[in-house]
Amino acid sequence: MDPEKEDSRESELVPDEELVRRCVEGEVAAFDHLILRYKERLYGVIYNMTSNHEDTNDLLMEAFDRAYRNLAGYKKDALFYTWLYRIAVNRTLNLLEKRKKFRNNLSLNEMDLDLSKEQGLLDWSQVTDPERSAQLKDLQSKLNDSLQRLSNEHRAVVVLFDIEGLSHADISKITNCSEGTVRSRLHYAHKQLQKMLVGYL
Amino acid sequence: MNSKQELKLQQLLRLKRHESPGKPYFDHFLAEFHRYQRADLLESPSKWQEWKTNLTNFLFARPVRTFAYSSSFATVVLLAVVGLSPSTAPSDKSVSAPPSSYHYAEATEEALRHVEINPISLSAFDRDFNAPRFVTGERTLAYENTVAF
Repeated sequence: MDPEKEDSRESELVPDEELVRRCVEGEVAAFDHLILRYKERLYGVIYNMTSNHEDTNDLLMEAFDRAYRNLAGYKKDALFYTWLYRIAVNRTLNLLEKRKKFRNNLSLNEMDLDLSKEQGLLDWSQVTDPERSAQLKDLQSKLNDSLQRLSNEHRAVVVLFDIEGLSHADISKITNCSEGTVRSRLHYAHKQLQKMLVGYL
Repeated sequence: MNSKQELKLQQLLRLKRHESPGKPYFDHFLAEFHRYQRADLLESPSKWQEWKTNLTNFLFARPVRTFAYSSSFATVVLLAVVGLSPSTAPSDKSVSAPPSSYHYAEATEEALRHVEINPISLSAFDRDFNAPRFVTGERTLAYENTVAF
């Protein structure tokens, strides 16, 4: 059974918790629906934290795999997507911590080169003017560079709030800290970003 | 913080929502994920896991060997217990028992029990002064054949 070919309306109407229950009871294809539902949003979270497509792909696979293996331990007192996001964010933060030393050894030029490899990810389909396109690519590069200069914890909060549009309450559950801490981190990160992007604001 | 700048920053950050690897990547993601899970199942175990498995197989997958180990251990323990226990009185027929004065006296008594002893005449008149004197049987007690007074 290919869930992608299945009636998508039927799967869209089923709540996450119901799909989780079905999966735990042995209907493993139910998890495929959850993957289809969250793959793009989760990709966005991880990619904006790592700025690297290969890492994002690996982490996304790992996050879904880990969620699948621990599905029986999922408690219904939290929403499924916050639980799933939490797995993905924690794994991403772990990877970034491991690479912190390596990243610190990179010069800014090397970082820029790294990020420029990801330019192909940009989906500016509306952009036709070459000059405007170049400006936007420059902006994207600067934006990625600025995000990478933030600490991992601050970047996670910015990604979840500003890019993914999650609430402070959800972010506090995902990052396992209080809402006050989330707001504080967000405020500090915004100030830092404003300084770095002063020419674009 | 300037609210206008704040708003502009949020708009800029929101642009990143449009960064995407493209439709083909997401179209194939589920199949790739299934492949990833299957590959994970076939992934070779770590050195430690391999070593542990080998050791477990070696110790427990062969019942005869396991029995040999336990019986060898029991034998060693038994020998150690016997060797360390306090020594008891040796038996009479023990060859390796160390000689003692008690044993010599007992053996002599046993030997003498079978020897026929002739009565000794203490009378001076019955004595042949030329003949040697014997104490037990034919053993010479003294060789002087004359008595010198």
